[in-house]
Amino acid sequence: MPRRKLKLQHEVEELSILDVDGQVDTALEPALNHDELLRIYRAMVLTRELDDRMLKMQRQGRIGTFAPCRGQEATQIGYIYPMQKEDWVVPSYRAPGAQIWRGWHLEQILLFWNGYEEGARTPEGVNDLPVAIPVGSHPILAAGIGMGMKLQGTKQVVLTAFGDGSTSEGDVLEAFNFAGVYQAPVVFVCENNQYAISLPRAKQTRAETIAQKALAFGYDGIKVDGNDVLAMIVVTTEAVNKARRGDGPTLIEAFTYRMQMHTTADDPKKYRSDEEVKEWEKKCPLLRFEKYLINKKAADEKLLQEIHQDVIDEVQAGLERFEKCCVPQPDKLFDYTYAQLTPELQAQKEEFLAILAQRDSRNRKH
Amino acid sequence: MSTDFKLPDLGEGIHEAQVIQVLIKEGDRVASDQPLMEVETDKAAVEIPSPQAGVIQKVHVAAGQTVNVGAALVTFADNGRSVATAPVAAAVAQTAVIAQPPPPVAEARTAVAAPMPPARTGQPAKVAASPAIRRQARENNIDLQSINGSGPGGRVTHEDLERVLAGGSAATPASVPASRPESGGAASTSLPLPDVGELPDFTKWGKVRREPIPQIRKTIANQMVRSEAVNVHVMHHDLADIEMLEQLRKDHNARKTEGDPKLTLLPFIIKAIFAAMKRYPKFNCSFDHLQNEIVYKEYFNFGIAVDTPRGLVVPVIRDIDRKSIRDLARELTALGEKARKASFTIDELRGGSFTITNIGSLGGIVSTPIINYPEVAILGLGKADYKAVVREGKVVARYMLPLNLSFDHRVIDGADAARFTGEIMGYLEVPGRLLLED
Ligand SMILES: Cc1ncc(C[n+]2csc(CCOP(=O)(O)OP(=O)(O)O)c2C)c(N)n1
Repeated sequence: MPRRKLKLQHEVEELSILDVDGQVDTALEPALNHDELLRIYRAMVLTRELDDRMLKMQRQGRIGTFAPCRGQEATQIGYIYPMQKEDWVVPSYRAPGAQIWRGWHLEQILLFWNGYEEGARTPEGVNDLPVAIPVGSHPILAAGIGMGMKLQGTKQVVLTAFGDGSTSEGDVLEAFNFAGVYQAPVVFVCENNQYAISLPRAKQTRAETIAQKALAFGYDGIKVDGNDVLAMIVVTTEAVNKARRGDGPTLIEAFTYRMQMHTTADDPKKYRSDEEVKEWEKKCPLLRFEKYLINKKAADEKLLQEIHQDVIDEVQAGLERFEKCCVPQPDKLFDYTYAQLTPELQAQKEEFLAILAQRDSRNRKH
Repeated sequence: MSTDFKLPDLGEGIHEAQVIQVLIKEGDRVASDQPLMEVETDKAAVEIPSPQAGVIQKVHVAAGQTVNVGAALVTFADNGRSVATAPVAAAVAQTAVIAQPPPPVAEARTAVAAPMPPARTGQPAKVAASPAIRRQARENNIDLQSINGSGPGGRVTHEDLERVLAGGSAATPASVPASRPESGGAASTSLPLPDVGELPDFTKWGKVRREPIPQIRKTIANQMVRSEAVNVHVMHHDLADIEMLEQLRKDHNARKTEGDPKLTLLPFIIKAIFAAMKRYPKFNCSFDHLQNEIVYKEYFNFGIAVDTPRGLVVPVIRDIDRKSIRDLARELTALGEKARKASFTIDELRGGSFTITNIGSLGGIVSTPIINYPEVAILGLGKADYKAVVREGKVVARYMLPLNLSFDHRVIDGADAARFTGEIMGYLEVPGRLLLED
């Protein structure tokens, strides 16, 4: 009964295809035609423009707090790209670009961060759950959806995205585990943006990578340059195809950086240095992709400029639709998640409507 | 038709903000999203962009002022599009009814009506107060323990602190004055100025051009007037022979390896002042004429006067006592870069306990620096240069640094200043002595 080493067959890969200077590794480069490349580019620009505008609007009191995603554009557009319409997405709260790609309306993002239920109402024909704010509460839903798909024998895949901080939540580890046990068609994407509010990644886990956590659950994890949209697309496509084939889940660690504050309510200068931020500015996902497009002759400066202008117009139109849009209807709170309310929710709704009615009649008396 | 732009809730449940700087003035035409002002909340310093294009009819706030959420910041004299803030507020209010426990705003309001907290026992318990209040108290050398908080559970509120800062008692509420002294160079509330009457009509003698005074200039002016009005300035001048120090410095720079900071004179001077201050702690104090006390600071935070494109600012290098000469050199380099962009946060300008102004880098021998109130001393450096001096009966050329120490004669005497300056010179002339410091 000796003490001996087990031979485990596991390794963790790391992938990047497009470097900070826009130089591409042609052996790894995905075959995407110019139209596809420009569509991807436009989605990243839209993500950034919306983010910038929202920050200004928050400072003007036109929306509530929100979670800026500047710097994480390649991650979200990269992982959403391979998803088919019939697939499911359980989204992160920091990826509006991915939501819009899926068919959410731009003004819904604004509505959501302004407290309107309409912002959490999945558009007709889109198979996504609304954004979940409780950290780490949603990957377990994706595991469940994946297990359901497996039982029903559909050829669908479910993808869920969450932050590095979420991986310290028990529910997320349970999700990792169940997806593995049932070989469910789930793609887990950890958007490792180096911080959970003020807590740096180093204090989140002793493990060298987040990707390696998958090994303990019996499937592959891979670390990807999250600011490299090509690498994100390649890795996610592989994971989606694997899931669709019935070969189970994958954990993707997208290594990226949150360039802005966690939400509009904190001051990042208090917990990280300007030098660190400057280093990451050089790794901007948009700049390197622009260089790539130009080198590849998929676009010239003028075309990129036109795309920018087009995006600015689109965002502006969305903002205008948002500001004209809704009168708040608090009773809608119950209406957009379940086709049929559970008995508890039905009782809550009735109680709530009674309170509203009471308040209205009181207000009328005054 | 005109529109008010009101202070939004910039965080989650923020109910007030302090205006740090107003970037526009009445009559200005602004573009949509153009920065209007910088404000600081309990959580962050942020820039507020204009919600619309238009002409600023009125500015309702000034730097230094604390403004409640919902108070008007500016009024636009516009005929353009107004801002859809109303439905937003409504939505927030209504969802709050449904989903959330009462926000801190409500808490603060009920606090006013709450019964007085139980009297404090002698035990120093941890006082409840927000980080911003703690910081403000620290900077003004106020012990939170000594304040009877009027908030829930004895929490010290902004009003409580204001009351104490204004010289009111720590226990009984009094009316809150509109202005109060601030510490550390970031002061911005205005002082009552001596009435000197209006300026003459200069156009009688020739053409003139009038320009509005930018905010930073107002801040500087207020701070200078305050210091001149309160501190009793006396200046002490001497020349330090820094031949040896200069050699040491050059030697380091010649042989330094990559990543090693380039050394200027300033880090050595900072260290020398600190060493001298340990013997003469009065130079790191404040004079509290209201409480009849001298406040000795046990921290050593030195303000460094720097010239930025927008004017003078005094960023603070903290905890000198815990930093090496190399650390200081690195920090000074970073400071220089920030100065070029004038991108200091309000925090970086606060909490100084002594100031250095290195006007000598531009030239000059003697200057009369103004003390950075409520500090009590400031050291001005002249231009270091070779001077003919007499050593052992012979005239020789030595590398000399002029030192100009302004001090507040309310608390420091001429003899103290001479001893303190002598001590600093000792370290500068024989820099090896710094090695013997612990
Ligand atoms: C269960 C729960 N705990 C705490 C919070 C407060 N909170 C909001 S976001 C966040 C950090 C999450 O970090 P991470 O998962 O890394 O995602 P990121 O925000 O960086 O995208 C925390 C602690 C919450 N929303 N839910």
